[in-house]
Amino acid sequence: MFKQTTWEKTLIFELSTSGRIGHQVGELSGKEKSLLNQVKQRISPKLLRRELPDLPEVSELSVIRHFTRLSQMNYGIDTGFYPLGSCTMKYNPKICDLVTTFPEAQNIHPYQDPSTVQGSLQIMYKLAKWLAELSGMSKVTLQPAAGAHGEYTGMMIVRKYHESKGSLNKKTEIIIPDSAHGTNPATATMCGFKTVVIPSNEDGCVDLEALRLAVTDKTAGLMLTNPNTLGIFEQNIEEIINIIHEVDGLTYYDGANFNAIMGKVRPGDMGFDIVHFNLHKTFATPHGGGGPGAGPVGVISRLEPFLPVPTVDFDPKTKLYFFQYDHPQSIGKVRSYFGNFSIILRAYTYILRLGYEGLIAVSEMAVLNANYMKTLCQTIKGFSVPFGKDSFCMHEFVLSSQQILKDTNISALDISKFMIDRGFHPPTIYFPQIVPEALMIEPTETEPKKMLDGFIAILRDISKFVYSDQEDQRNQILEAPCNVSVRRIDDVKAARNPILSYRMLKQQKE
Amino acid sequence: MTSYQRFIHPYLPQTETQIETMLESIGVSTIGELFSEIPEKLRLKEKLNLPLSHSEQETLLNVKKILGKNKTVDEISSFLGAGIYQHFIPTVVSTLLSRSEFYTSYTPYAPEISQGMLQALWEYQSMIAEITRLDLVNSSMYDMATALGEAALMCTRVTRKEVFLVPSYLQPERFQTLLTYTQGPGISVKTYPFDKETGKADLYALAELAKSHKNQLSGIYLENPNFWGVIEEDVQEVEKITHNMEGIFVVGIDPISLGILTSPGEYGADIAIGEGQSIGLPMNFGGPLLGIFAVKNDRRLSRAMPGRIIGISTEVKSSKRAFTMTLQTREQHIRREKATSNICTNNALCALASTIFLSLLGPIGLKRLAEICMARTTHLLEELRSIEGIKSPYFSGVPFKEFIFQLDSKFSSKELDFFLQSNNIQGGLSLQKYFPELRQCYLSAVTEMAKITDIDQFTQKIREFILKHGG
Repeated sequence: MFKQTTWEKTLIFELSTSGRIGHQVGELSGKEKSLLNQVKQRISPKLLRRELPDLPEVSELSVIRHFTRLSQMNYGIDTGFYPLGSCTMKYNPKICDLVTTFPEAQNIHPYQDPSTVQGSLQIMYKLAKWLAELSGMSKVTLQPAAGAHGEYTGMMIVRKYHESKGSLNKKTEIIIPDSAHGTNPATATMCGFKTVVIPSNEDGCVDLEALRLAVTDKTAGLMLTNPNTLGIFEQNIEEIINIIHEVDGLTYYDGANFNAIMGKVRPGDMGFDIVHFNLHKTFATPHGGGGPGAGPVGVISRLEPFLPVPTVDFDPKTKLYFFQYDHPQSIGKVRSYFGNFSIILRAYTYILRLGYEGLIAVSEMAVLNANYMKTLCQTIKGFSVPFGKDSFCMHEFVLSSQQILKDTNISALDISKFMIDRGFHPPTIYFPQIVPEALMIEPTETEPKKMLDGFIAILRDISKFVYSDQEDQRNQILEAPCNVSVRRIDDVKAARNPILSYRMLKQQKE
Repeated sequence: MTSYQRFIHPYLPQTETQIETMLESIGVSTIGELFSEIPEKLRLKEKLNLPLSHSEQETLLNVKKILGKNKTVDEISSFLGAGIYQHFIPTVVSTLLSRSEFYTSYTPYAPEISQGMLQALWEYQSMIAEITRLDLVNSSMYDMATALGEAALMCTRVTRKEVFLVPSYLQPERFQTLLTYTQGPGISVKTYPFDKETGKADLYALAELAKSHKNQLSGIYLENPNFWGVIEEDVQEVEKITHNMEGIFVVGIDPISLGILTSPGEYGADIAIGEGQSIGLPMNFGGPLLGIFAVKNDRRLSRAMPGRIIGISTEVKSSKRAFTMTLQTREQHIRREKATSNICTNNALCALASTIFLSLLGPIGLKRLAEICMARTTHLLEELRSIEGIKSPYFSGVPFKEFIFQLDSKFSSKELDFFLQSNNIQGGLSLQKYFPELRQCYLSAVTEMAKITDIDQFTQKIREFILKHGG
């Protein structure tokens, strides 16, 4: 029986007692004190802070307890099954965490002389090579900080490509399927493009006719996830890409679903020009409660000149790795420094640990687990798979509970809350938007069959409960969750009366 | 007999028998059939050039061997800063960060089961709000450079104008990132100069520049302390110039400096951005970092803000406190092409590190830390001042934890670099590459990590160098 640890939701500010400290910062020597006084006198008094910030004053143990308790009210992959579709919540190997704590990884300043950072550069160089090989791209940058940031980098490359051909004023539109991640259209906008949304066909794939109609001389490119967000492989991918290439558009591969295809098929072989990877999904680096991640981007050879600066290169003569800034056509920089090194290092370690044969096995097991669940889940009363019912899915599938909503007025949201009570993190819900009452399930390769069976059993219970004539069984779902530290939360109140900091909370109380 | 030759690995739990059973349930006989949806023609046929699987022991050896080629700042006496700083990280920070309930969770989409991370991020927002005196803080951006880019975009979203003024003496990484970010929406970035004597913003030039873009000004960015390490004291004048032109006043901060310096909220900033690496994160060769983004409590601004925001609410059926992501109608997963930003994955765990760091230090610790940085920087600056052949400080403005010194043109900075390096010292960032007018100038940072002996050794070596070269 699952029961999340529940503690009083005391704010750390409410634990504060004036005069307490949780860490002793050093002392100033006599000489330093007098230097400080001299320099302070030179600062305009207006610029000297009169009132200290109202930070909590707590002992070291209080800090430990406070955050330990918070962690106990948080659910991670290490806690249990996390089938959050599209997010690839797989086991994050501990060896990958360990290597990031080495001083040789952490205590390195980005502006150190390149001769003193050869180890870091070698890791970056190798990982970039491996990612290029896995995706069929020519060169990879590790600079982007996240998947959406990779998309941003990719779309800026699309921009720069058309600019280099003098056609940017004409090439203004990016084509995006209606099933795409929200980051795709948001990225296109940030890069100054207009989004043209095309509807999916009845199979949940790109509608070729709709695509042909949407493609014009204005088409700068296409953003596509393959397998798409429904977990379906776009079989017409070559034709889709040809249609875009015919008008000199570039094709962008959203790598969120790369976990399905490692060693099986490569975006480069499908014809894509630009690819991003989510190291925090496919390559098992933990998501940190929201980040940091890393979103490397690979490109085909003719787009190499546009990659962000610097690139990491190797000089065979000196046998030294170095940063190459001399790329006059580069899009510039998309962030400071070179990338999220500790995430890069995790991915490097992960790939080494699994190896080529292991990565293939990862994709095979991810696809096996998803198909197994899909096969069994869609036989449960009330649930269906609206797209790709009779074909094989890749690493995830989208279940719909629309029938349950129609029959019983119980929503996908209610269902997801009940899963929490049974000790599971719910799947992604209400996405992709083309599936009504969507439950997007991605089991990943690291879950044993027993866990998958346990989850399927819960869906069966849900089906039984929603169709039950016993009020208390229906209520178990409508009242869920009960076994976690809070029950359903009033989101409307949170938005209508935003209290976004302790300062705002204090103002409200006054 | 099984059809599948299983790859045995601790991360892959399914046994042959289970695989068989599962394949049977699906109604296929091989795993290969599951990939039959991929057109035959596209399927990978040749073998890829990737490493073979390494055992845990082999993997560790490999990584250790490669990383062993690095020289850490522990082995060098380093005065490098320029955006990334070496600060002490209390043990408690890494202890708590290694709670895997935190770090192996995703973005808290299911709030009831993710209250721990949500509350921690709300407390992060609260602490940044306290130090900046700006009420609305998002739960992190990637770094200060992208926070600046996003701030520029936000200024244009709010004002519908497109000229954004920044110092010409901006950290190069930030400047280049800003130039990338502003291309999409067609924002024009103009730079204002610094006063050649003090190293502070040239107010007259700034005012003139602002005037010349009177009806197009979206915002003005001022960094305090600025890239030269100098404290910008005319913040109120810049605030007036900006607001008189109906622009948005954006201030870049070093969170530690706010232990002694007046907060941007108190001098009228609309947006404050900053780099949170210095409060609880290792340097990590430049990433991951923590982009701080704080905004004045104003509806016009809050609706245009990028990034995730955590709010406090209650249970639907009780008054019990609960945390949840809020104001989501600005975000990409709802607004798609109309979103205020595409940011999704952010740097939440880094924000958690900073929250723990600030909880440990408290107001007194933060102030003390700022004082130590300032005192030690002044110490090095003064030591170097006494050396003939060195102009220290190069600018007369008051430094916080960084300053510039210049090597006289009689001497070669290349030789100095080599000399210091061979003595295991990284004396600072050579600025000439980025700012040709600052010939033979170095930007040096001194934090609480610098021991008095490091400072003495550094000055001693510079003295030696000058003597050796006929000074």
